[in-house]
Amino acid sequence: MNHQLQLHGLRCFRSQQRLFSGIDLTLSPGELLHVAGENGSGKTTLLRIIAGLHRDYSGEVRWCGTDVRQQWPGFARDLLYLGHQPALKAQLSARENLGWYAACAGASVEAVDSALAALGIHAKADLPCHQLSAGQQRRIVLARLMFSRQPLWLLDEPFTAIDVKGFAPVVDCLRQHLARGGMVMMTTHHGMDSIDLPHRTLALGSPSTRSAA
Amino acid sequence: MSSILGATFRREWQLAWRNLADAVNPVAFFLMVIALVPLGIGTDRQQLAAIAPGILWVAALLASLLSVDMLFRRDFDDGTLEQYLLLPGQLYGIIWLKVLVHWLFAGLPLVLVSPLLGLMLSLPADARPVLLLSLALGTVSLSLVGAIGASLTVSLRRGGLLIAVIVLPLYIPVLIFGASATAQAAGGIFPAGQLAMLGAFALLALGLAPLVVMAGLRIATEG
Repeated sequence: MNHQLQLHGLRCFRSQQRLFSGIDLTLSPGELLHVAGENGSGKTTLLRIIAGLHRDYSGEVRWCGTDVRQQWPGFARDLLYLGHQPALKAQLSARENLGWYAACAGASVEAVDSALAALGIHAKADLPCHQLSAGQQRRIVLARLMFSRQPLWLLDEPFTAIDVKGFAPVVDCLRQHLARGGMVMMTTHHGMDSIDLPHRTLALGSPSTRSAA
Repeated sequence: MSSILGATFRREWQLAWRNLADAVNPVAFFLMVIALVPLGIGTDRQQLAAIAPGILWVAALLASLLSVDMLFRRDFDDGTLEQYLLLPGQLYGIIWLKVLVHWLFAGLPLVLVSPLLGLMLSLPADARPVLLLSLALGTVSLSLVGAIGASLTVSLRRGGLLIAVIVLPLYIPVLIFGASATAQAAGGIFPAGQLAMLGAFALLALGLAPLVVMAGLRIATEG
């Protein structure tokens, strides 16, 4: 099935301020979209709107040609959203945290092990997450990408607190995902140069100024 | 049972064990209140027995309210709640399981210590099994109704008092029938009607409360 994400005249106000308006774009299989913009320009809100977590907007988000509001919860099956917050349980170990996500994604226990190994957190896999550093916790979050097969990935600042060594396996994983025909929409303050992948950029203007991509 | 719900139950169970202090709070509160009552009222057995059903039920209700605030708080703070909302079609089951595990750790201990506390307040022996049963049925409703309040206040930094204002009026029917069942049992009559009502409340809450919680959690994450 050929997936496609389309945004039509997307507009969002927040506390009487226009965050963005008139966003039109089409994301096709194998495409990576970098959502750029300064702090407060609505990058996170845009991703949350697409993920269905923010419903106060006008315009349309279409998935395979149909408004996503009409295909809930089916659209959620095709979607992976990694937000600002790690969504990890501090009292559980990396393996236990990922085990739950693997069960939700229908992946096996072996997939969790190989994801932990790929991100270099195998040795710390059985420590409670609150004993790990912010970067290590972020690696655990990103390990989810290794066994996620949803076609559309929405990644909000995935590389926060990640060091150079942690970058490579994630970029590899993104490359494989795109090669499988997946789509990625991400925000990042790390320059996209360090992520050596072909991509398009959607630039969001500063809030309440009349501008759009 | 789908594998997602199985994994969720295991995870909630593990988390409840590792946050055991949360579960100790309500039962400790319950014990303290009941231990203080004879000190305040005096040790006249007849007087204590007369007020025991009401005091036990009010204390159990407030103890239950004390713990319900944390039900979704951590999930909201660490972003897990968003991930729950994005699991296709699983939210109802997840909420149900979360409340179930919460009840096992915060509600069930109240039920289990209640006969002992009944003894402390000279509740007649015949009434103690009824107290146990009425609390077992009642705390299920209290946990589920409390979850509604928790879902509506989870996005507020200080929702503590607001949750009480939202939830306490909804607790009143459970309190009336629960205390009345225990009082009637203390008078030597089996309170079949009250227990049936408590059972009906519990069933209604088991079916419908998760739907309200779903809506509440969706609103909470919109902010």
